[in-house]
Amino acid sequence: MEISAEELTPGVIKITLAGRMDLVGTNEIETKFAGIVAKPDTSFIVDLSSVSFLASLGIRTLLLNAKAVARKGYKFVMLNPASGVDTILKSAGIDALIPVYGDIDAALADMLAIDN
Amino acid sequence: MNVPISYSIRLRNDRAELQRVGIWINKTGEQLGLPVNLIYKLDVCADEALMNVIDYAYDDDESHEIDVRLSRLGQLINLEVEDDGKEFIATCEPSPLDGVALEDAPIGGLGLHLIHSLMDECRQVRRDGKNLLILSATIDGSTR
Repeated sequence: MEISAEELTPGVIKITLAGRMDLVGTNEIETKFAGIVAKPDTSFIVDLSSVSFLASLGIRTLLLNAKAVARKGYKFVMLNPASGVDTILKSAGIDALIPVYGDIDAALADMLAIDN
Repeated sequence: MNVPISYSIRLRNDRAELQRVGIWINKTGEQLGLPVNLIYKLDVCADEALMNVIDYAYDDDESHEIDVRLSRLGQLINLEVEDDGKEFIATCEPSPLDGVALEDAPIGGLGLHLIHSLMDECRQVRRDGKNLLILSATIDGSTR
């Protein structure tokens, strides 16, 4: 599994995940994921469009990082989950805790509006 | 008389085996002509069910065998997981995330809930010292 980060605007980073977020995939990225979200004064948009598999271990990783960001008073949202991943997020009820956007402009606009 | 088409795989009680099963589920699902979204659900349920067996079914450090079978009879799909671990009841649980705020959300406990919500039916049998978990779905139902 792969993870990359890109600053979209000061204070907002897009994290892109790609691959299977299963046991192996989660182990591959979780340390780097935690390191990225440790950045202070920053909100995060997590792009899930290239995630091909998500089960409870992956959800656990998303939750841990979302909580860490929320504790600092910043936002952690998800972007464009593929159909199967979206089904899992809804079945687990994650979408009620971590906002899901289908459009990055909308996600960014909401984040900047909240920050203002 | 209709006869189900069935494929099986055997694995050890080792988390490292899960990736191999995931590949097998996807390949076998295609061979059975299943829609992509149903294959995905079966992939997730197999992963969750096997993780439970591997993590909780055994109190020893011995190597055990777990059998997974995927079969199709018409529109009905069965995913079976059979192990020789201690008796386990995969009860249907609501999501532990229902009605909680992010800061109070528990980490973990989602596996059984996902299995029950993704499959049409979940049955368990204990026979000859083995647990048999049977998860069923219909191809038509996979469009939901």
